[in-house]
Amino acid sequence: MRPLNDIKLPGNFEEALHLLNGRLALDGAPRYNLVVCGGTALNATGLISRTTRNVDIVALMDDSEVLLDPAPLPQPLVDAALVVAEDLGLSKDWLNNGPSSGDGGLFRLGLPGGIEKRLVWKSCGENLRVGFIHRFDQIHFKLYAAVDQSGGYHADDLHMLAPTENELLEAARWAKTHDPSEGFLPGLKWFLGEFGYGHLVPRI
Amino acid sequence: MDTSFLEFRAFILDHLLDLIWRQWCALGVSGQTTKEEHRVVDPEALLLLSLTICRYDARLFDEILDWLVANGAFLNVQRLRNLKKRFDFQSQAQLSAISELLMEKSNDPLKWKRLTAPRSPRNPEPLFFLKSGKPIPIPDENAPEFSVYGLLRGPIKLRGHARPFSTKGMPSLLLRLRALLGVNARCELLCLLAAAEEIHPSDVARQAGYSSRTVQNTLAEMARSGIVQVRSGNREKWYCLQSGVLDHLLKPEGSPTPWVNWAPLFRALEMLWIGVIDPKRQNLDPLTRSSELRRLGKEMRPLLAEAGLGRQLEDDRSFRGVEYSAVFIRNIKDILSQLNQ
Repeated sequence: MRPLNDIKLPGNFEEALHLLNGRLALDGAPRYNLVVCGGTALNATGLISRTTRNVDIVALMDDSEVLLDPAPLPQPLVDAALVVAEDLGLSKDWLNNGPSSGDGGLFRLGLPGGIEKRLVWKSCGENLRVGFIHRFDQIHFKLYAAVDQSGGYHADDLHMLAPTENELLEAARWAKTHDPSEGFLPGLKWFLGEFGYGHLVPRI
Repeated sequence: MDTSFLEFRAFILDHLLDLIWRQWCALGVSGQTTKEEHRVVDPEALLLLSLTICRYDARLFDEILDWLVANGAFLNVQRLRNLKKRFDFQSQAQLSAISELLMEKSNDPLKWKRLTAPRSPRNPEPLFFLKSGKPIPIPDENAPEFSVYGLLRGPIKLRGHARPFSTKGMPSLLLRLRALLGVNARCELLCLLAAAEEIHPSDVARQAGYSSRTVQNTLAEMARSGIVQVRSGNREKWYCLQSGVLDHLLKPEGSPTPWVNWAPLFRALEMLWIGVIDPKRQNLDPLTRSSELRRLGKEMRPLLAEAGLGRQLEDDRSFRGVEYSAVFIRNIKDILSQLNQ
């Protein structure tokens, strides 16, 4: 795990996470390690600079570095996040487990192997650490989301991440096992073709 | 610790103690204050606030004990219980301890026994603190009335300087009415009737610290005198005083009786003080402190509104993050300054 404490978060999420730590400490809550993906992680790790509304939690992690299901989010974390939303005028779901929110979510279907070793950590205080997923895992999630949603801003994000052929192949293989439904594989092949990587289709 | 927050705490304590000194002195406690109280004092609400705040002024605490020995017969124990329960005042241990003392010193020990709570084996703590927050050193010998409730202080030596409450002036009006009519709801009801053009029983019950049924029944009885008049409309009854009959007693200067709904206001101020001295709220970063002051403001706002001061605490939703600290501090300073005018 790599620490990275000089990263700047988009919008007022820097302030929000700092206050979240303060609220958790005041409430006597345990320490939480959040594994964050999406736009906040893209910004925080300097991969892409774009606006984002939410901090998307894909997993939690205990102090012995074991990933945990973030659904449901622990109540002390939910309570503290609501106070932060109220104090800073954020939307109530500014901190959410959307990507892993249920049986069809990323965590329960399986995260890319070794994701926990590639996290980039930021300490927000005694009660909160945030681990941002690595570019390699972003490529996995973005490819999956772009296929699932037939393009959209996920495709733009994937384009800006400029994956290598090998990275894209690995992501495609993971996405295929991740979603074994009938319609997903043709969608994946179509997307790779549209994305300019049609030559990789026979190798996935 | 942040010096501006320490200054804010000191400002609160100084202003609360000024207000409490002023009100007790107006009722006969021995002491001098720079400003006189002109409003009707609510002795039960004042006692409940004093038992928390005067832990930071041992002299005033003991002057109040002295006053209670001399004038305690005119305190309404049932109303004390009602107000404590309804507003959740935090002074039960102190209240129990002074009741133990008054059981020994008064002619009516059973009356005070009703205020005691079961003795609990809580960890002993000092009763008194310096204004800085440091505990006052505890002597070897403790006052047993307090130590059985986990509060440590030296033996009580009452000076016997407290005077009977004044037979003139607005601050002692409620006590004078009790001396005249007995310790019962009629006294608060007369004050409230004289403070407004007309009153509704449910509003009065909230302000007077009695149950709605007690207030309704008592007002109905008082209306039989002809001095209290009743107006019916839309299934509701409104009560007022017949003009002129009791004005010399209740409105000597011609204007409505200066009644303040002290109980919710004092509970809000107790909440404020307990809130700012809470150990977990010291040494916070500015953002988290602002968040905590916002929580405190949210708890206080309905009580201040009940006392007619709701608008004095600005809507926190208009101020994000750290911005709110300065607003809260300014609002509280204004409220305390206004109360001490």
